[in-house]
Amino acid sequence: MFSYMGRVLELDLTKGKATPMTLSEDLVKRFIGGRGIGASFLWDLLKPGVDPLSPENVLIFSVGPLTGTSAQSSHRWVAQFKSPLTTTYFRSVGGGFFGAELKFAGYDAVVVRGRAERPTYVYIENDVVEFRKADIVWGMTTDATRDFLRDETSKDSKMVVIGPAGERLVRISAIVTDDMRTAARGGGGAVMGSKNLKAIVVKGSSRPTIYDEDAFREVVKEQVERFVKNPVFERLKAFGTDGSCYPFYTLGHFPTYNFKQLELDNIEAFRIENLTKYMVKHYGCYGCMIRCGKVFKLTEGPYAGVVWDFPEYETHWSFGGNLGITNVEAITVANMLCDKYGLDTISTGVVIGLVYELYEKGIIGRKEIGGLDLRWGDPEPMVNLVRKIALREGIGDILAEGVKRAAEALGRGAERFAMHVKGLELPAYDPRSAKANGLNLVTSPIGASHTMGWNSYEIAGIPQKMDPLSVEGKAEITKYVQDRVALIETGVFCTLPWNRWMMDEELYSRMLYAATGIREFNDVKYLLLVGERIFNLERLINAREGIDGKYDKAPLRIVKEPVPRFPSKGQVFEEEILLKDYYRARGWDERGMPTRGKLNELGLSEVKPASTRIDVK
Amino acid sequence: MKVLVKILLEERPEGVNDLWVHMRDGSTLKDLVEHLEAIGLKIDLSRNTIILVNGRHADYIGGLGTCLNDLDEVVLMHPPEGG
Ligand code: SF4
Repeated sequence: MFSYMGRVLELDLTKGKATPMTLSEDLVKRFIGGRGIGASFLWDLLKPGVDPLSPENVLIFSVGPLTGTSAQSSHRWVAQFKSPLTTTYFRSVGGGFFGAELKFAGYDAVVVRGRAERPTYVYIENDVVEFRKADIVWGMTTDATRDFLRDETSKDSKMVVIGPAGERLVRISAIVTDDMRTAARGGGGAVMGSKNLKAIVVKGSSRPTIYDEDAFREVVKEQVERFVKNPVFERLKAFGTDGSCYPFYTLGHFPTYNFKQLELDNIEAFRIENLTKYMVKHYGCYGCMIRCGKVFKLTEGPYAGVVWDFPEYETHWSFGGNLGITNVEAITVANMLCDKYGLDTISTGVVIGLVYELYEKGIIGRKEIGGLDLRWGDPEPMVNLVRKIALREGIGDILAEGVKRAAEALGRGAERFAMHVKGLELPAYDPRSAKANGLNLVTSPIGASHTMGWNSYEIAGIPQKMDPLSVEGKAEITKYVQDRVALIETGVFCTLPWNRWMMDEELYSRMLYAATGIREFNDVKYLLLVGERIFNLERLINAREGIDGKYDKAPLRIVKEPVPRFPSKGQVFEEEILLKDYYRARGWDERGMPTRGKLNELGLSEVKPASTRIDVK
Repeated sequence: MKVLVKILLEERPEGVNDLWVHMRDGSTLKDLVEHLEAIGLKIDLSRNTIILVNGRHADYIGGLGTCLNDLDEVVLMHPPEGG
């Protein structure tokens, strides 16, 4: 098979055994790569009902056919597992250099099973796979772990690691790369922690072979030209996602005060003119000319001297606007702590938002939160809580369970202020301010993840404008974008260039065909069908766990409380209307389950209702 | 009446971020755009520039014919890149 390495590595941590397996051509044709093959493996290997933190959970890392080639922005990696945060199927995507290196080592995917007896890391250098002791690095932050493991392996090795949060089974812990890119969401860090797996370190010397080198070179040239010509390219390169903070606030997306959506004092702090003051360096993932990564340097205030990876748009929100905080230095430090301890910045900010609001409402008192005075806008307790969550200290032990479980544990009606869907904390988009974007958050199989269906039609007016506040036509567009993202992540592409239509499925199809020579991929319609197939299969994995349409539910605040500020003043999320329309557009029944007809159409007819808890109509 | 104009375009004149613009009552967005162009601001509507009136995309509330009111906030920006 061209452009694939043709091998999947199975790591059985219980037995300390590594087994290379062949990647079947049939699977590749049906699911392309990355998220597609990972979902398929989970369907086959994950027993329904297992505890996500038990050895029975399966953790898959995968890359795609364009990973490690000369294509732009297609070198990300996907982590898939049953989430300890949501108990649903989960997929989380990371960047950096790990994906390309895994491919160079000769693998399209790694399947991790079981649990090591002692802290372990796995070193993969081409065909040699070693299970090594990780006692020394256990307890270390992610950056220190990286430095130690580079010393023990090779200075060129790339890796995914967990920090103290993952070791402590914090349900909002992240998987972090050596260059601080994360597959942050869903508690993948805790899944690794539960397996006593501190890191997977790779070093490789192979390269994928391309089916038609000349054609591939041409189509990549075209891709590069399209990138450079796109007006957003320069801005992403200059500002990363930080250019979006202020405009998105203006558009009503950047929520404030735990989604109370009051006007934020000093929102000007998030204007790009202010944020660029901190930028001292640009960097990017393997094979991506956008280089959206930035490094911040703090020179004043209590955190002077800190130099770290910048907070993305989401993080300026989760530790900023979401808590009424506009102190960019403190947000940068909270972001740094999350990277070092291995925490998801979105979920951490949202669970802190819950306690800020409970404190304001008098539902919890100072004693319960270790004497902290949690006033909106005050950054100090926020930074303190990040540490407590990572290390499970005091109130941090409850918050480490994620916003849904924390609210249930605290009781006293706290659930009303817990902002999540299916247990996954909401990101920096208010469903009330962009209905299709909101519909994605509610229906995504992994809970409230913006990356599963970021709706450029509503948010950026690209490729066509669409009124974000209307409900008409939102079901179809949500479905299309979700299926498209599933396709993007087979590559494994970064969604950023696709979201601005620097990339599209037509170009992808030509790239895929030139790289793999697989005829089926030369057809855009087929590719979108694969996207839809993946999305439906993910839904079925959930159904097997007993998770159906009942779990497609926005928080009460989003459905009941009208937004008080412009431009979405008076808006609520019209959940019932939108969902009904969405199930129809998807060809699902009223319970939000794919129908037998739909499954046949998608080539998923082999799904056997009898063997699962699914009853397909 | 006066409206607050916030300019989030890279092509803005040096040092100009926000400005209060005084206009006749009953003025429309078109009047404002003409006024801004008259004072030297290039607003290339063909390049996807987005105009928001109180955060609402002007396209959905009457386009350039949108009537402005005292203390309205008008934002000029590029389509945002996403996050
Ligand atoms: S756009 Fe940014 S996040 Fe995406 S691949 Fe490029 S550098 Fe990485």
